[in-house]
Amino acid sequence: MRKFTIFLAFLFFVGLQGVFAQTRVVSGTVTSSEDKAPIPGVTIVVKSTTIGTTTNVDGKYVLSVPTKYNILIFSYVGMKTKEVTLGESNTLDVVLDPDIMNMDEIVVTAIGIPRETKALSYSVQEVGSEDIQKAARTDIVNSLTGKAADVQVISSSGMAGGASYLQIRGVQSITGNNQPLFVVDGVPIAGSETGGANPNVAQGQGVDGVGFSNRAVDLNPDDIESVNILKGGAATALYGLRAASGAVVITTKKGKATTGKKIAVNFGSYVQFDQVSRLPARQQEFGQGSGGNWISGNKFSWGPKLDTCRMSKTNTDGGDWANYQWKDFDVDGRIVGQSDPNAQGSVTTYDPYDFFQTGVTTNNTLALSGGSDVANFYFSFSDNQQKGIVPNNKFRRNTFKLSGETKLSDHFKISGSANYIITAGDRIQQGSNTSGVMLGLLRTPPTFNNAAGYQFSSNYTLPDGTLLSDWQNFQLSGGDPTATGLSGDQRGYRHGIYYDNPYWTANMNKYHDQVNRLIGAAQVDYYATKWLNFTYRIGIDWYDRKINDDLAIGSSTQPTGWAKRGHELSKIFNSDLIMTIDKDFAKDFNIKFILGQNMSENYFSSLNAQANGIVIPEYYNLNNTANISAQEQTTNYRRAGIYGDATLSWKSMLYLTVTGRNDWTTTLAEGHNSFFYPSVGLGWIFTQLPGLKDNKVLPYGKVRISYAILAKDAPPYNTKTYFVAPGVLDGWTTGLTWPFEGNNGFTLNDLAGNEKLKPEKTKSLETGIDLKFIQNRIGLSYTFFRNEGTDLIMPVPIAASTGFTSVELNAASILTWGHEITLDVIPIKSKNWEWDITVNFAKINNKVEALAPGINRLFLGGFTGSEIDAVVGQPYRTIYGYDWKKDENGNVLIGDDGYPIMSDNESALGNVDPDWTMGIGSNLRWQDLSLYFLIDIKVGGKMWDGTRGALDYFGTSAGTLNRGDSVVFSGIVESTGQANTQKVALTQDWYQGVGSGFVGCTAPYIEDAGWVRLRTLTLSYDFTRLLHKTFIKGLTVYFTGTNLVLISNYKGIDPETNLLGSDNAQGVDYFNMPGTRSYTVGLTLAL
Amino acid sequence: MKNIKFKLIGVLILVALVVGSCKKWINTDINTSPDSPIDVPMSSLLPAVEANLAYNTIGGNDYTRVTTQWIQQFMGIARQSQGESNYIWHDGDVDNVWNTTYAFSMTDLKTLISKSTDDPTYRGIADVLLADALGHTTDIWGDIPYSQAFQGVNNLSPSFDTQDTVYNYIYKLLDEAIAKLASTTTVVRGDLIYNGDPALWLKAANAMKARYLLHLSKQDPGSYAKALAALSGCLASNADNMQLVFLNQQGSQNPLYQFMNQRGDIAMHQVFMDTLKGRGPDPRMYVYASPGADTSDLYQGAGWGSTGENASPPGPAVASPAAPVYFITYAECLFIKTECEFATGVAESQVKADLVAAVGASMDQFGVYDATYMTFYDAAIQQPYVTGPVLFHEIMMQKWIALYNQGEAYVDWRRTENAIGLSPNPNPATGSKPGIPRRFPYSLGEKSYNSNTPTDVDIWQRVWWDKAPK
Repeated sequence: MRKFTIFLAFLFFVGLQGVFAQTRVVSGTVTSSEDKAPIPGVTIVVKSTTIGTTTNVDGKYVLSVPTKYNILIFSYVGMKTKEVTLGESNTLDVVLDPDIMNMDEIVVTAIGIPRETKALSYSVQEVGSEDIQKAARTDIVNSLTGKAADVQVISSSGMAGGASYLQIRGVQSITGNNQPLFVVDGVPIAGSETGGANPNVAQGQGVDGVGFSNRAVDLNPDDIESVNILKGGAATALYGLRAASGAVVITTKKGKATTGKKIAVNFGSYVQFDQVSRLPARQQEFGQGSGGNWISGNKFSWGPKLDTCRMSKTNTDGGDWANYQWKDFDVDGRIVGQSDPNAQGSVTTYDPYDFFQTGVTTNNTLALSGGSDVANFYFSFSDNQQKGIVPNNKFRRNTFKLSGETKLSDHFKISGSANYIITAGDRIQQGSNTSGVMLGLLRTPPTFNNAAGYQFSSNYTLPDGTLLSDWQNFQLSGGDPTATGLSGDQRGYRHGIYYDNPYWTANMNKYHDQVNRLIGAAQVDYYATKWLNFTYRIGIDWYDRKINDDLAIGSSTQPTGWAKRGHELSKIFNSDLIMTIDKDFAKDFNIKFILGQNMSENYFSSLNAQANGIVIPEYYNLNNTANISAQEQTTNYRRAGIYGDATLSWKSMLYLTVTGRNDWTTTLAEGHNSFFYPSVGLGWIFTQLPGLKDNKVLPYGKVRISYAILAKDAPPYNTKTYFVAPGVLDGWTTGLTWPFEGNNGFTLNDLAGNEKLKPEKTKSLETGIDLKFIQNRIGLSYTFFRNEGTDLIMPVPIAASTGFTSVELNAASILTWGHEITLDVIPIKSKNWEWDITVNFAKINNKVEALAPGINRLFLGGFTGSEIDAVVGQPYRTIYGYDWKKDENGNVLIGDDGYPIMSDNESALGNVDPDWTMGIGSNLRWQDLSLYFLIDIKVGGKMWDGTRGALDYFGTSAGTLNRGDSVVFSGIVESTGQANTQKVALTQDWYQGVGSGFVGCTAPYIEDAGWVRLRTLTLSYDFTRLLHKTFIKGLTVYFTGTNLVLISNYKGIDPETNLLGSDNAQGVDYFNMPGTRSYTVGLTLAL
Repeated sequence: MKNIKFKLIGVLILVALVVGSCKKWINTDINTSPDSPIDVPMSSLLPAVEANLAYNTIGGNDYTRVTTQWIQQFMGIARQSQGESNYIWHDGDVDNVWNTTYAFSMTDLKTLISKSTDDPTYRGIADVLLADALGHTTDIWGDIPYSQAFQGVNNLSPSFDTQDTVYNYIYKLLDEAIAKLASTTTVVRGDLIYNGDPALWLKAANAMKARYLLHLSKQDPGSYAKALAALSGCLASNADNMQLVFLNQQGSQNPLYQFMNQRGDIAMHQVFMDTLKGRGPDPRMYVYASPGADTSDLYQGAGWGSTGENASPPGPAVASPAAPVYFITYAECLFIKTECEFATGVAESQVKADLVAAVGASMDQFGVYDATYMTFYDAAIQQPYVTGPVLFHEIMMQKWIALYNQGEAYVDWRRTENAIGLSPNPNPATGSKPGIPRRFPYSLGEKSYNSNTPTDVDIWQRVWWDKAPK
């Protein structure tokens, strides 16, 4: 009802349109002072009104100006903005001066307020549409890699539709969301992975199952005009608690006044080919088996050396091959010794990586736009289709966007946009999941041919002659994974369904999800007087996601088959009412004052039903099962805020900004749910000092400092203690499920609610200097920041005798500080040649200062024995696991058997986050030919290579080729205190004991995950000049390569990976899907 | 100008609407999860508590499977179970049973008690269950938090009550239960044990009282007479057994069945199997154990150090999907009676008659009552040498056999100072002290977060009632 009232008020405004004031018609030409040429596309606005137009191709304009206004503002990119007061004459020709300093650069800041860069007391980095386009990535998040300092993007994998993790300036929260707020045209949207309506909850995908998308993938990058990254506390202060982890402010393309032409058509198209970039090295010299013997169906590759072996197609007892028990598995025959009387040819080996295919993405966007001086529109349609590197991995996105703007009168402007998106993914089982593709693939011995068929053909008939389907056969076998030779059964290297054959996973196990999403916004601007205006903006982001998760009968994780149906609904509502006062109140003083009110609501609900025991094979429907369970979940919270921002400037030299915001939230109890937080910032453009003004060497220099306090509310529903469905579990078995014996049951939750919870607080200090040298040819910006988060909310373990095992408390604190440097250099700028270089450098440090009293370590994610933890005194995301036992001097202790000893206790083994990161982007243009590249450097940061750890155990890794070698482990013999000199063999026992990361020591599998990579290389040719005389207004053809070069010491797949997707726990590689290298050919066409 | 006024009025209306709605907008009532209730009826609390007690405490894989390994009914043959039989049992290993008993069962029982002021049946049931949960907890951990426990954040470090104090709480609860249950005939819903019948619960309350009085026999020789007195009005047949029956369907199966199905790792202990075999075999052997892999000797136990390839796994009586978990049985009541009579000087002929009845009740409980066998057994114990300590030994041997896979048998072993004559594991884990462990260590979680937790405790120490012989 409330929303409806607001809507009525909105209509009321619309009804007010009409009656234009008395006007005069002004016309003229705008030219450049540089070459005296007319400038098309100059924006001309009557000051303090919505009235405006643009110049046509000849630089001419005509504009109706109400008689009571007499100032026109002329602005154009790269030119200094000029205000001209109208005289008696109705003709006004204007000459614009080039703005080499870019002093009037405008960026979009919090609440969608455009501000001059020079007035800011904090750093904001903008990524423009061209940069986004050059990256040619489906997901806008991926396009931001390396484009701004301290913006870290981690793709979980190269899978079509895979998630990416985005983090700005490190972490601020312990267990809450550390990803930024996504704002599109002033409207906050769900950006993180599923469950996006609740940005307080980091929704990881878990260590198994399939990889999800983050919901920012729904945005069409081609619709984006610019992305502004708000990093620090002062930058996001006006957004309040929602943007405690920074904000990604996206401005989409708008229609432009197109004088003399009706509609502008823009078409963009590309096709992209993806290949697996890196895969773990495998050994191809030793066969399936154990102890040096070939054993059919054995899980290990610790069999014989293959060059001493031969193939045989004679049964073990010398009999007919047709009677051989495992002939359907060992399709090439048995492996026998070379002296075996039945030996035939040499042993065939297989490369399981043949499984991967070349992925193909096609992307097409058509945009139509146009307008006049009173109205404009923009419409686009896009289609993105991806076929992944794993068979049957698909992703598709269609977007429709319509936006428009109308000036209803001199004082009113109304605008709106609607974005409808359909996104669908066919996802593949991955990770620590016996149906996971990489798990089955990488453990397969080199002598087993996965591709010889993943399923046995049906040939079983009942006595009455009925031919059974494969699945019925399987059912008859009772689903016994050790049953052999059954038709319809899965054909895997272990003669059963211990792990799924990767071809089975890709073909039989289907996970499909589809998102329908509507992002809509409407805005009214009212210019009340020359210095006062109001904006009211209302936005919604609504999506539903349907999930079909099907596992075929005979799959290892669900041998009886499985069907899951899920439905999620997410709604975000947001409204802002903003009043702006912009007034010169004395000769050198200007004050800009903003007062705003914000209301938002987030709602998320999900309904999941799952069933195992599929009755009719390959028919996936909940009705086709006998054992259904279902769960529902709802999250709903609201926030409101009142905020103010005052910027006082003096002589365009000193800018003082003070903001304050008071938020109210429903997620905290009354009395704790209202909180105020201020920020203050000062910018001093010291080059405006009389002695320095207009000097040639350093035309622009600014020092800035800001301080802000930010707060973040609690996740919803943590103030109360609830009764929950009891999990009767003993740690050994799967326990009891409810309803139990026809009774529903409840138990008081082990997690106690806490009505005394208060907001998390972050104190954010930022200071920096911006310098521009030699006519803007060199720009250098340095920022230091320090964020201290306190009162961070976490579930704190407590003694069970209290009746609970944990309670939500404001307990933890974390300190993050860092340095950011941005360097822009334009070595060459001439008519034919242009070369620019941008370097972004960031070094972040962080330290968990405290968790709860008595708590030293908090599990963030991963596996026991190789966890990603927050550890007091260590950086956030510390890998915790088992190291070698060491003496006080750090020497590894060696046992009397000559092998190193594993420590009994887990310890910190490294920090996941990098020491520093750098992006070097460069654009070189010669006439119409451009070459762009982006080098992405990440130094430091560890990753747990759990894949290698497991493969050493199974004997398929290249590392185990040294099997049988004798080595002397360096260290001190524990019993003697002497240096170890004993030579010992690297045996199967060693690799299946403490020597493998699978069951043994974690430390040897913690690897440096740094890299240097050629992230993007784009070669483009702009045909526009050649086509000048035609109807084509622009044509660019380009080739882009992504990840063409990757240099890394990491021994596994592309180290830009994370098993848990976009989750706080990063740095986990356990049979992760590999990354990709891509080649893209595309064009953009404007008509 | 009129136009401007209209617009200004419009703006003001809008501001008023938006700001005015702000207060209503922030309605903290919406911060109540729609998915989880704040309050639930007693009929929903009770089944969860009963199932949890049965699955995790009374018949649980931490409590019962470990203690019955120590008294050599089962043998751990692989992984952690092997360690348990070798007396490896650390603070971290008991977190689950400690946490589920405190933060789940006992907390919910406290809630149930506070909700049942006007409902004698629910109150009586909750009292009995809480008394039994407390009994199990103190019997395995000695001093435990109770009087200051269950207060949430209001007391993060509850003090530990001494065991004699805890026993007084147990008696108080049972006395209250007996009074409440005797006063009502109202049948309540949600009871998985007795279908809410207060008459049956009254019998169980009396039986429990007898059991927990008997536990103090080392500290107070008067316990026997008190326990004997408490037996009046206790369980009268196997139909009265206080037990929770599981079902043969996914998610409703017996805990030991699930353990054997999902983990394996234990087999019948050679000491226990040899005892059963040496007694005829005792007909219960065929339900206590399942046939092993060795076709020449299908029923055999795993010896010390064995990995049990040929050993019999636990049988259908305790490890089938629907096998019940016993809280207290008719047979146990008869054994309490027998022992108390013996201890209080009742004529041995009467004691022997009661022993035969107790053994018969146990066989009947497992559906293998064998009249012929019982005739032989009766004759055997009528032998004149079966008297005094020999008779006492036989009573306790039979109770050990009857209370198969029940934690109470471990109480008896300690209380009677090893009357059945078990020898400890000859090759226990490095660092073990001599003898069979006599208690559990305090849980790691409690030690970490409750500063009142005693720290100088190992599993060879005795709890208060387990007084060392002079």
